[in-house]
Formats: sequence, structure tokens, C-alpha cells
Amino acid sequence: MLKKRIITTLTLQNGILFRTRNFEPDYRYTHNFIDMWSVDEIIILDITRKLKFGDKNKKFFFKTLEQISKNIVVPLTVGGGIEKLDDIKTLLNNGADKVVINSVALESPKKINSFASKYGKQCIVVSIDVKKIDNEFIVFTDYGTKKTNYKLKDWIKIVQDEGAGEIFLQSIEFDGSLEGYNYEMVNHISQVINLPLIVSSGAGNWEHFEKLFEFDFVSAASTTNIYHFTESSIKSLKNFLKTKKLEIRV
Amino acid sequence: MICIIDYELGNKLSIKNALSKAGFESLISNSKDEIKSADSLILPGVGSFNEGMDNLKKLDLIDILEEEVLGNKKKILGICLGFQLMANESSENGNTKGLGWINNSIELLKVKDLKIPHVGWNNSKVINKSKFIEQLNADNLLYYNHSYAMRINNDEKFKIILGCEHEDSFISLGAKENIIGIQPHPEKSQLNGIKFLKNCFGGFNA
Repeated sequence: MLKKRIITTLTLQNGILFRTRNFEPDYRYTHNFIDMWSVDEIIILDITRKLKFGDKNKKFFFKTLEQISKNIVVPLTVGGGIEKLDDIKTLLNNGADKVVINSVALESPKKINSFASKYGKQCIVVSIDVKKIDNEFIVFTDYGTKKTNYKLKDWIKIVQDEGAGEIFLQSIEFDGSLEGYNYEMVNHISQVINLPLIVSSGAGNWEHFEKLFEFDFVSAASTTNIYHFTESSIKSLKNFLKTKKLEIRV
Repeated sequence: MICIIDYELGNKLSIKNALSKAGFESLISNSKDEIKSADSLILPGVGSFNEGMDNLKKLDLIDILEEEVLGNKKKILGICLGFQLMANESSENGNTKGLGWINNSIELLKVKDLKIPHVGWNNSKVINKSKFIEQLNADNLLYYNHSYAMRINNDEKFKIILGCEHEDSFISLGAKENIIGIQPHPEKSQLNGIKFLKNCFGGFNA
């Protein structure tokens, strides 16, 4: 049976690892903090604003990506600033196994389809940044700074129709809060989601993960705030979830 | 020296990194000389089937691969899409003809309750014992990421080693003489994956 995945998301600015709070770089740390053997997958996002793939400063990101990819034997999903097919090729050549897209999909949803046709849908993860406004879950773009006209459920349907492989759902207000995942948002999409779903933002203790996996359609839990995930902490999280009878790889 | 075939798709660097952890030297290339002089070959994955076949044709790699694999019986490991390309055909994005080394078809997984793509860590069942899976632990837990698979075996010479289930059942690992195909990603499967690569390139044939 397919195991529930525990994912660590690393956010990089100019090639340097940061943890974030409400989508802003907050605290610098080193990647030695990650338990490379217990984690099931790693997501790496370049959060350097307005950095194009052709920009010479993108090399700092590639350098860190290459270093990380050398040291791990788990899937590496990479994103931040992807605009075209060639950008995906560049990432795969630098150690990525899958890619995450966001703003490019919102600008032109058809691009999801064109990327998936070449690299297979399993390679294309669409990240969705959400904020609740006037009692509606609204999709944001440009690193969570700009409101779009899409309501969450409508956008998920489009993303699925265009042939994405997975959805990576983030809550802008819950990012870095440590108060738990946005369960209301997860529950809100339960009837529309038909792709593997990764939920991010807000985990602060082991019970938060357990509560998230009560939604059986959730495939993976991600956390960016790994500062308390030192050395053996992912292992203890997994042992905890295993005692709760969840399907977990330990 | 292991040559990871560069057909402009796939996570070649990840494979090279994992091979080096398993203790093997490798290079990423599509040069005919390097394919010829390599001891073993890897056909990597990540991509769509039609795009994969188009690229093999465009780079004029099919003849040299057939000469080495079918003629000289050089060991080749196909990973994920690389494995699927060894089949007769696939229904991904319309019907596309494959390399035809394994007399089977690639089809979409048939699921009703579970989701595809089938992404993540899953266990697999040993169908036939093999040296390739010696010392793998925890139910042969490996990392999968695919929607299409080899679901049925019609090739008498192709021996299924591992089978996996995701509502539908499909072939996870199999071998036919010097041709080895694996649906999950050993290069991303932690210690189990590294052990598999060691077993695979440590000298055993099927």
C-alpha cells in the first residue's frame, strides 16, 4: 500500500537556505539540519523575487541544488521562476526529478498541458498559494503577493483538466505559524481533488500531521520550518505516526 | 564504466549521483563510441513515451542500442520510462510503437478509488527470486512516480521479479537475459535503491 509521504520544503534566496514566515525569508539555516535518510521527498523552491532562468545570479541556486542532489537519494522536486520547457530541462539536468510550477500556470493554464506532454504529467507539480479573503479561499500569484481572480476550487479543476501530476497546496497566512495545517482549506477541496495532494504550511507538532492525514485523500505533508527537525526528528515523527496506524515508511 | 543514455529526457544527474553512492563510475552521453565502449547501459526515465521514442529516433540511437543490447548482449537497465520504452507500444498520448525488446504493452493503470499518478513509496511482492533484490528490506519499499505501466506479461522469456499493486497490479521489476526493467526509481529509493543498483551492476545476469 502506498505510504503517506513526509516532505521537507527548502526555500532558497540567492542560493542560501531560509525558513519562511508568511512567505517572507525569516531565518537562515544550513541543510545539515535535514535528516536525509528519513525524509521521503524534498521540495526546493527558489524564492528569489523576479529571478529569471537566464539571469547570471541564478547560478547560486543551481550550485546549491547540485550540492543537495549529490547528498540525497530521495526524490527532489524543484521550482521557482519556471516559465518555459527549457527551464524544466535545465532543472532536470541539475539534479531535479520533478518540477513545481505556479505563476506561469496562472498566466497561461495551457502551459501545464504543454509541459506535461513532454515530461509526462507525473513530472509536473502545480503549487497553489491560497489566502482566505471575505470567507473565500482565493489563489495568489507572484510568491503570494498578488491576488488572482481564481477561487481555489475553480483553479484546482482547471489544473487537473490541463493534466498536472500533483498539487502542492500552501496557505499564505498559515506559513510559519506552527499552529497546525489549514484543515478548513483541506476540507473545502475534498470533493474536487482527484490528484495526489501535498499539503504545506503550519505544522508545529506531530499531532498536526496526524490530524492532516485524517483526510485520507491527502498524500503528503510538507513542512518548511525544519529548524526543530534536527537530526532524528523526522524519524521520531514517523515513529509517532506509525503508532497511530498510518501507512508510513520508517 | 556505465553509460547513462542521454536522450534529452530524464533525471540523468540523479542516476549518476546514486551510482556513485553505489560505488560505480558512470557517464552521461549519447555518443555512439561511448555507448559502444561502456560495460553496461542505463536508459533513464521521466518523460512521456512518444517524446522518448521521438528523441531516440532524432538522436539516431536505436540502431546502436539494438546492436549493443540485442547483438552484443550488453547489460542494460531501463528505469521508469526507460523500462517502458523497451516494450512493444504504449497508449500514452495516443498509440506509440516502442523498441519492442519486451513483448508487452504499456497501459494506463486502471483505478477507481485510488489516484494516479501513482506517486510515492510502495511495497512490492516477490514473484520470482532473483539476485537483483538480495538484501532489500522492508517489503522492497521503492519510490514510484507514474500513471502508465506494464500490466500484463505475454513475453515468456521476460521473468517478473517484483510485482506492485495500486488497485491495479503491474510489473515492478523484471528481466530478460541482459535486459532489466524497473518501474520505480532505484536512484531515488534510499538504501533499497542503492542495494538494487549494486546487485544489478555487480556482475549478475538474470
